[in-house]
Amino acid sequence: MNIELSTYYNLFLVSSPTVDTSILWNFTFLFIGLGVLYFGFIFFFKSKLSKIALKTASTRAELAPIISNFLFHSAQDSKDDQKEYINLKIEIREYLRNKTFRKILAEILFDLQKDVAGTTEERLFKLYRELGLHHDAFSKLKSWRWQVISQGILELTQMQVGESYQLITKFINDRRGPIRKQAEIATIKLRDEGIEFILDSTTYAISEWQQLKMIEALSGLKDYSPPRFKSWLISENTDVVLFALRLIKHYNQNDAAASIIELVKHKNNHIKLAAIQCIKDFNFKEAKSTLRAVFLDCTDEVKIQILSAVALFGDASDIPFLNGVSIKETNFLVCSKASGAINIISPDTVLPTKDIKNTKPSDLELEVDLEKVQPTIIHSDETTTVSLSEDYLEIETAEETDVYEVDDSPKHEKSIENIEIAETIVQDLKVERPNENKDILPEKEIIVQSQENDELNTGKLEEVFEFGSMDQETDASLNNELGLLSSKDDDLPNITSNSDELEEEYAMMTFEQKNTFIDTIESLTDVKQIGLLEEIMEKEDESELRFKAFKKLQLLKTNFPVVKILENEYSESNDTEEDVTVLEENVLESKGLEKDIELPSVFLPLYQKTWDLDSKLILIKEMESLGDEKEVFFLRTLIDSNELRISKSAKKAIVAIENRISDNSEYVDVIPVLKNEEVSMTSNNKESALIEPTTQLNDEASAIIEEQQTILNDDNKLPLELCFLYDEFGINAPKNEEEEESLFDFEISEEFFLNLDKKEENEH
Amino acid sequence: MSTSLFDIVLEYIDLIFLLFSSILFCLFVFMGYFSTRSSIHYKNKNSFGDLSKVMASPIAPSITIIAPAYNESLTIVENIRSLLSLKYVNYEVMVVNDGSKDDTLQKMIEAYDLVKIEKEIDPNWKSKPIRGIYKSTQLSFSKLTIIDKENGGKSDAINTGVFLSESRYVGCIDVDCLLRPDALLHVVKAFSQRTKKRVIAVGGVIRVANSCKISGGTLEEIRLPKSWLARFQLLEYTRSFLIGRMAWGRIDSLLIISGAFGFFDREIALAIGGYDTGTVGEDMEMVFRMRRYMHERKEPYTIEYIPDSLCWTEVPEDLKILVNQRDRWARGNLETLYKHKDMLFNSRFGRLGLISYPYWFFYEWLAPLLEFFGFFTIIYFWYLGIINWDFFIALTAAIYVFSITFSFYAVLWDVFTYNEYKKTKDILILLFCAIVEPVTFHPILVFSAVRGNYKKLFRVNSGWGSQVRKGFAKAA
Repeated sequence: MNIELSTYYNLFLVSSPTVDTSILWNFTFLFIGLGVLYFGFIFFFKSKLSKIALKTASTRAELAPIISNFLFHSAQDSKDDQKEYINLKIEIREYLRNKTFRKILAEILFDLQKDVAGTTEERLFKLYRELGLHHDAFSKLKSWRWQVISQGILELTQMQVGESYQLITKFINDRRGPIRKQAEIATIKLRDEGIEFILDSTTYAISEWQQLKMIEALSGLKDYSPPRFKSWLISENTDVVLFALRLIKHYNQNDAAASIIELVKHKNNHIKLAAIQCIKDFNFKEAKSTLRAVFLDCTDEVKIQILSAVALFGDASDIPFLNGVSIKETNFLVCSKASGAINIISPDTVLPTKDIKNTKPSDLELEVDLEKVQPTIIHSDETTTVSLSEDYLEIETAEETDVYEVDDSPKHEKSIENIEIAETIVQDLKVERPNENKDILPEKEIIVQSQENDELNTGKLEEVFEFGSMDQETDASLNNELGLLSSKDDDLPNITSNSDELEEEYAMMTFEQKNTFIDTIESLTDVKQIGLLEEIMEKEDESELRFKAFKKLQLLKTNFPVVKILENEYSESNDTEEDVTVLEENVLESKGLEKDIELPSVFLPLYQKTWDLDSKLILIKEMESLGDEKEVFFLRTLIDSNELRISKSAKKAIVAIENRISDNSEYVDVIPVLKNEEVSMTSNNKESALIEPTTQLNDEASAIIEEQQTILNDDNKLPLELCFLYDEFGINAPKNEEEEESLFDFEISEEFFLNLDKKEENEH
Repeated sequence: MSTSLFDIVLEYIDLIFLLFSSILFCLFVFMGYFSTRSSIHYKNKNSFGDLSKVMASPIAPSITIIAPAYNESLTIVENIRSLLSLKYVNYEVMVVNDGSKDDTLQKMIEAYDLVKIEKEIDPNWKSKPIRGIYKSTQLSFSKLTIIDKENGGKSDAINTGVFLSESRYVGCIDVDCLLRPDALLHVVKAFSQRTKKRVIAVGGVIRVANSCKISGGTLEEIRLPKSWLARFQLLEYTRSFLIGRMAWGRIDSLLIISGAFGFFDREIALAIGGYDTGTVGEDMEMVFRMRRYMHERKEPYTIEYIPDSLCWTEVPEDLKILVNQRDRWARGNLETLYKHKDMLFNSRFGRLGLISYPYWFFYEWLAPLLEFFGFFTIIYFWYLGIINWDFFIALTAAIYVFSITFSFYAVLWDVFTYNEYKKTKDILILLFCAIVEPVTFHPILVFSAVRGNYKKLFRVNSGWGSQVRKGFAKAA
């Protein structure tokens, strides 16, 4: 072949490197060779993969009956079976010398392990050891290749080889990530205390994915009792802190409020977010000040989470802060979240501003629009018979004040305009109302707080007018809007009609069904059921059922004081679900009690809808593992259940919950009461003296105590809120049953007298 | 021009081309090496554990799949059904109807019982006006959100989705793409398995779904496409995704994440302002800007690449549509490279400025142009009678065989790792495609690239063009 030395003829000056044409041909042949090689490899690998798959399948088919024989063999088998078993053992021992066979056998056992459970699974683990396959896994741990070590750890974990725990934990801080991660999972799965070992000893970061896997591994453990993860919130490893927070949230461990709140100040955003999530989930209201303090230094994502937390448990005192955020923040989402939070705390405070026309309605239109604007300005006080509570009104007033404080904002100007309009309406109405209507409608006085149009921030005008003098149409629309303001005698709550439906359903039942139905009413979240129980007590022919209904109502009233109040209130109220909620909130707030403790358990509606015994038991079991104070309340109602198993399970669940949250000092005082089913308050002060509370306590406390006494049932059980109240005042409950009979014998702690002395000194 | 001067110019050109080709050969060899290592490592690493066990984890991070839809009436209902059947607990499917002229929106409303909902939207957010946000009244479709907006192009639609999403991660996919049920698990794993670096984006392999058997939004049987054009594209995708991008991913220099299957950290995506609506190469441009953003903030970051076959899509079977598509890619490439021209050989951007950008500039943008002009130069030189035919043939043969070998290697690696096409006949067809591709399919790509560059450089008005979907339902 004629070989040329260059691409072109006639070279001058700078020449390109001469490339021998033969070199190019050599390259060509090399590439052709490689191409052929690859071509061969493609089909080689393809056939090899197919062969391996086929061989594995055939070996599996061959081994399946042998393994099955091993797994299900027992000493009671017939002689022939015993013989076969022994023969198979001898046969398999021969095979086990072959490494490939051992590998396939191990793979079969691993696959089988995923499909079996219980005794069979335990036999499988035993078989794995008896065949000596775990030695192969142990030898893999000595390999230098990370994938082999990881495989070995995986096999030992899957077959629950307990003695490998110590060996595997050595890999917890291995520099090779895959080994480390596999070792972490193994440590958790092999021993319950594995998670503690990891959190204590790991020096490497734990990726989020690994955390997910570890939580999944923990969830798979049987009868696992998690440690208190708050201990690791002080770890120096940021990822350990983050993981501990996630575990705390996962296992609902709400006993680390202080540490979690402190972590909101952490530099790491992930930790901040996880801490805020815990705060939200556990309703740590005391975190509000910290959340507000760190707000400015946070990223938008964290700010949004903080605002959602404030919205969750904020009150009127947070509205100035939220107003400030909505005005000053530049990020739209943060502003929007702040406005949303304001409206959650106090509905309809921030009104739409976009595309709203600035119009002043004519006199005629004003009457029609009245119902839309009235709630902005109408307030009542304690002297009215309106059902709105004082606390609720305070919030409304506070909002209004805030609105005026930030009157430079366009949206607030809009609110002011609305108030102006409303005021005009009220004044107009007063002038126009016909006197002759007065005796048609009941007399009710509502104090309307209003402001002069030209003196928004200074002049306050109190007008008293009578609803009875308004025309009926306006009155009806106003009542519809305000709901709770209705006072007509015939304005019976909707509960009546709903109760009617329930009654009809009840009437259709047989004796047994009725009996079961009454049993299922384990708690009252719906006032409809009060009416029904009372109807049963009055109208039911069967004395047994009447008595049962009576007992049930008494029991439930005791355990859910709200019911008592509802019972008194609903006859005066327009019945809507909102009314009930408002009433509940008002009652609770007026007593200064924590709403989250008083409100029924989330399991309640589920339990009510459950008819079969097994499902109920499962729910109680769930409460046992997940529940807190709320569930204890609910579980108390189940102790008296006719069904023995429910009663036993409830008692067991209460004890379990008690143990779990025993760190909570407030709760410690309550749990023994529940356990012994008697009221016994313990005081820290052992040297307290007995006195009459009605003479010594201040008026407010006396009034509340008197109210609580009416709630007491035949069994002389004290409601839990009363226990809290006594505890607050340092009053000790009766020490023995004799004292218990006289509910007015209490020990007053020294601390109480000291406080009284201090108050007196301050007054002087 | 005197003969001597002409020869000198030729010598210099010769030198440049020699250098250019040598580097290209070396790069391809390195790519093969890195992709091999990366694939083996990935395979070993992912051989332990079961992804599905964490699919229902209560602390699984949230993810939103954003699928822009424009005149997708034919396939939209089926495609959404497929997206709603993914195995993951914490995800949302957000379909953005980008002002479709057909009944795309109506079909979605009817099929999924959608009702309009109210949501406050930042008045400062720059995108085409949103006409409505829809949610399903049925609990089973609670993961679905439909955004109806005025037409603003794919980028604008995705940006709207990114903005309205509240998830930690957002995925941008073509609505006609078919995702494997565990796709999101792989994506979330890729996002959250790192501890030292923040994963800002995750990309994956795009597989060709033409002629595959699909039923109820699920891929039932993988088949080789019947169309030769689709077969060539299948080979091209295998080479590009399994070798090229895998290798770039290995050295953390990946510069493109396919718009058909790309997932981003929403915080970073929003921080850079989302997709650039002024370019047709928005997927590549976005990755450039994300990388630049992280470089400037000096935060450790990376972009992950998943070689598993998670996303299956329909490729054009019509020559005209194919040429339009590649024309658009070429324009997008040029626009992005021009916009970020300061990165070229800029050590401030590390490997990005010194390796990735130059590669894209010389071998993705310039190479087709050189090929095109080289072809005419050969003809001209032949006319002038100055070609050394022996050398020319030897050189052409070496390059041709090398390209075949490289394609063979890609097929080999596909068989070794994922083995999607199990029939021997299918493999033989693919290998045959590899042999004829350089003289059949490749010139079409070169022509499309030249046309795209011409349009861009001479400002010929062009948009996205259109792609007529056959629809998976029909394909089945």
